[in-house]
Amino acid sequence: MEFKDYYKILGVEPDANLKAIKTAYRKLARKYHPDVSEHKDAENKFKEVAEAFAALKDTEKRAEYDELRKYGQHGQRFEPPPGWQPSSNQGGDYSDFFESIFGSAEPRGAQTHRETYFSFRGQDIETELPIFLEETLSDNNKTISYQLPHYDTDGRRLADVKKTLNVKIPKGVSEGERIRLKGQGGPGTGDGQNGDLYLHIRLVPHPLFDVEGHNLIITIPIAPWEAILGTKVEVPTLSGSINLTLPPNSQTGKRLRIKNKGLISKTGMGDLYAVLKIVIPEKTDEDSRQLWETLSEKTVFNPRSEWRKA
Amino acid sequence: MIETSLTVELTLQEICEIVDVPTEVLITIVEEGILEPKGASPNEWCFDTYMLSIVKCASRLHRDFDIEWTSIPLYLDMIDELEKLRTENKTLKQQLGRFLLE
Repeated sequence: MEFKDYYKILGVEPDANLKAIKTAYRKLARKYHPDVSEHKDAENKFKEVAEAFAALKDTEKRAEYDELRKYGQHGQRFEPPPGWQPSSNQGGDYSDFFESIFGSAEPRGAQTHRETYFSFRGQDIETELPIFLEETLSDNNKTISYQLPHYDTDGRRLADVKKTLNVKIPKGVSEGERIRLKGQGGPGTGDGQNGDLYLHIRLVPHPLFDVEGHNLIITIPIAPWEAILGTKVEVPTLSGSINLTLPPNSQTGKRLRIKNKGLISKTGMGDLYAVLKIVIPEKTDEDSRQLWETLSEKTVFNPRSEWRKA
Repeated sequence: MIETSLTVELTLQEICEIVDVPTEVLITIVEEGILEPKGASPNEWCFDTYMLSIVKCASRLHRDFDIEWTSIPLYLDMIDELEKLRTENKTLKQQLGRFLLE
């Protein structure tokens, strides 16, 4: 296992007082707390910070840790010196390193009162489940793999066990939704129930469609003459393409509603909105250029008329 | 194959058992309108998994930041607002990106 330098993790000096340690913890907790942080590794970062704080905020634990710190360096392999007795610890989801020093969480690590009978509910596990937009339109079978914590009879944490489930994801799931699989989380202790597994639904960004609630938005690039003259466009939707008629004089930014081609919601189908975007050819040959020139001479149009109102 | 259901309903007691939150606190969170479980009285309340995730968040905030239970509804409200704004911002940026050139 790797040695963790808790002072380094919190960014404090080894002789920092409790107040400085608390301040450092709170600052990092605000930065990495999974409930407020957008950092991609927030959860692991926060776990590390919380663990460092759990070790250093308690005078006794800190003294034990300081003693051990003489034998290890951050990031390097570490084994506690022979004869080291882990003290008992008050719970929490900590690393092997932490548990090798302070023992694993009670009641699992009930080394001091092994005969006592405990019953505790297993740990809830939450895992993100990426779903493609197309998949939300019908029930889908997904294979899900996740790591379950595993303990020996003395409560020592062993290597995690990989668990694989085949799950039916119902149609109409939405971003951020959580699906609960009862009893599929960490095993309970004694008569304690198993924890639950929560699948946190994440919609995978689509190359064409943007999600707005239960509606979808697609941007349709059109040529200037299509915008002026009107045209028919074959528009892709999540379920096959449809033909859309663009009326003459269609402006950039105009939204056209295509009913019932959005995502499934509890109140029915959402809609697909087509947003127009006028694009021009990258290069213009001489013939076209002359046509545009004629057009510009013959058309009375001030594209910046809005500015005059300002 | 494991069947899943989106209509999981949890009672007040079940929620408090799963998440380490005092019953009174959960009642306050409902009274303040942050959660709206089905059912007229606390004994009849039914919570879904989304509500459960909010209660879990409340419990984490209390534990990790030492936030007083009485202040938790305010924090939950602000986090909810933050989430909404972040989602909206992401959507708008994505849409804007389709109109702007590099």
